[in-house]
Amino acid sequence: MTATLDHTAAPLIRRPAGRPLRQLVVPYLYVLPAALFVAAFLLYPMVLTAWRSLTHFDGISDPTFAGLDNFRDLFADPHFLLSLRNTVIWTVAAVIFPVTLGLVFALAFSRVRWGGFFKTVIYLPATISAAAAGILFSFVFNYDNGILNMILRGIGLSGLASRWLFDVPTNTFAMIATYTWQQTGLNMMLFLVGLQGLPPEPIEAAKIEGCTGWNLVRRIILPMLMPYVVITTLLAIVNGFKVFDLIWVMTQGGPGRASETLAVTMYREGFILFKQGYSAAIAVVISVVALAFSYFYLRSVLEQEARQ
Amino acid sequence: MKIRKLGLMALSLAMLATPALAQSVDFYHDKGNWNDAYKTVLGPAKEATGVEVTPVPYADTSTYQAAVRAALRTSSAPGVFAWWSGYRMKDLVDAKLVTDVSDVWKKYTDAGLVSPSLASAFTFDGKIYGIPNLVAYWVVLYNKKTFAENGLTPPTTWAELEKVAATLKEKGITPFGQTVEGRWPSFIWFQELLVRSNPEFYAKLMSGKAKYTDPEVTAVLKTWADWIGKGYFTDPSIAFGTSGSNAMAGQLAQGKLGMILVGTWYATTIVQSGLDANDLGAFIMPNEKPDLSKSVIFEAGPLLIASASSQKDDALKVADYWMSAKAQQAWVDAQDFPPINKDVKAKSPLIANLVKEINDGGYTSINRFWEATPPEIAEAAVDELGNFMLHPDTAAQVQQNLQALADKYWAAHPQ
Repeated sequence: MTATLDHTAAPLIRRPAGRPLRQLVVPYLYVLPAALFVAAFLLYPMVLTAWRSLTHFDGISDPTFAGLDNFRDLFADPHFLLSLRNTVIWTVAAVIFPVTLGLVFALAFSRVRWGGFFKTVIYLPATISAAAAGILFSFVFNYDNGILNMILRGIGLSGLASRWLFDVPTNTFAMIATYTWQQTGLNMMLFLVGLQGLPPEPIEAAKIEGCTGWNLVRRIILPMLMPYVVITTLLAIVNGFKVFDLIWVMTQGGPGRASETLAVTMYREGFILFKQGYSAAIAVVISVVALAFSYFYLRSVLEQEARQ
Repeated sequence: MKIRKLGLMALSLAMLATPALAQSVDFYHDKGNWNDAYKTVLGPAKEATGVEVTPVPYADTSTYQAAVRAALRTSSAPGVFAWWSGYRMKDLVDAKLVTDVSDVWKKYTDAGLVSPSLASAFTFDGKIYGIPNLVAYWVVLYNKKTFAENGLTPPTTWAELEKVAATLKEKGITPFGQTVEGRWPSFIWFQELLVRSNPEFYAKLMSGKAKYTDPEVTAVLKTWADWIGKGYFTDPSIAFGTSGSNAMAGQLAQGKLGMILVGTWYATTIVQSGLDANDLGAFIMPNEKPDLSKSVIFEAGPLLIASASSQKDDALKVADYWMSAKAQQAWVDAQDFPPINKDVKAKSPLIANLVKEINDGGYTSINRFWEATPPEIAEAAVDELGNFMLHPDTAAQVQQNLQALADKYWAAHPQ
């Protein structure tokens, strides 16, 4: 303590008494591997991608500087604009269906008999990968012998049997249905955690005052659950925005390029057409939008933690 | 003194070890289900050449292409790698990333064992840059039982082909298989109908000297749409095997589908789907116009050698071994591909008969669409053709879109 007050005599590099240099350095050494890891596998690729987006690069020749050409071409490219439109549809749908259904199921099964069973059933699809879900539902939606068309034909509704994965925009909705099936359970669990954390007193008081059913949910539970709704919604937006594997497995963005989202377009341009500068420009657009939503997501999470 | 001795021993060991390491070659490929066959064929290469070959399979084609392209400029590039011919290997040749293997070919062509014409799809400016990995002919595979039960024989004229299709349709059997599954199969019928009606125009179209809006293309799309309208084709969403399941092969085996226009490599898939190999027949589609000379579409996939690879010299030894009758016989026995070496016998009568017919009949070989035109056009064209197959009334728009693609490419790559 005295040492820190001795301003006149202490040289700048003088160490506080009892804290050798080793103690000052060692904490940074602990952090160093993680910092190097982040720098090598996160920051370097980010900077490289940003640089690549300003070049023309086919993966084998030397990249040539292109300025903002790739970004200008992006917004004149009908495939990119269609892909952007599909991504918006996906993002909106990823919020509306899996989040709303997750909330509904969480509210419905939180305090009912057999609730554990139903919760497990709803959650189970979340334990398999999106690619596996895509393969599974490709069989369900198969035109010739998929179970959906077989049921429709079996009950005399042959007219409704459709090429679910090959007609536009039906295929996007079929994939969103698959995504909803897979994601709802995860959102339900997030809401269940929120519901369990709610203080029981206001709910009991509202019930005594005669507030039940939808009124109770709308006026008491939902306002208290709002931080979880915000977090789940922002997470759903980010996930919906960068969805790739499910689409790649089910339609590869087809027929033609009709069901591509930005992530699929990025992959096709970069790894099939080898326009890697152009692909990097799409990656930059995706990253900027995802980062914006991630910022709001993290801010909500941190505010929530601060409140607790 | 003792330390010096130890040092000399270590140096000697290192010198002994270095050639041993150099005697191994990595062989990258994206044909996961061929990996065992590659091991069988290339296993004996060690004894014959002193070089051990390690096949390295990639499960996904686009990942494979990206990985190979990234490695090609470095010394860690694979010694040997499987690729695609024609325009799909042109950028690697232009960037000097692959090795000239003309001398390997010369040994076999001079001995009369391999036809020099096979090298055409791998030749750029008179030099050959690949050895044949896969050679396939694009023919019509049919169920002999289905044909016999309906009193049909393989057609030899266009009129007979239409008669066969009409008869099968009458009997409730879908005449032809076609699909957009996996994207690329959309070009199959387009290329065949063009070649059958005007092979010269096909060649011009592939190299940007004709237009997709020309009347020849309009006529082909009209025939195609007409046949789709008559119910001659399977629904274009049928599974073809590109994503695992394979309804098309199954339907042919079950007699629900009469014919599939496809590469000869698909014969194995049909047999695996339950059709007895003796019941599977093949014929080359007849020309629409009788005065046209005989031709067959072929597909040639090369093995290439990376010029920057530290394994290049050993890889050339492996290439020589691969072309030998011993290796080719093992390869043909494993895969039932048409033999490229004249000392090699075809595995199945189906392939043997086809090869005999093509050789004896004086057929011209025509490179398939996927490699015959630049990938920038082909990749987008299959999407347009897929749209046409799903919605045949969009023919005019599809032609315009295709030509817009071609215009953009050829303007940037003047010939």
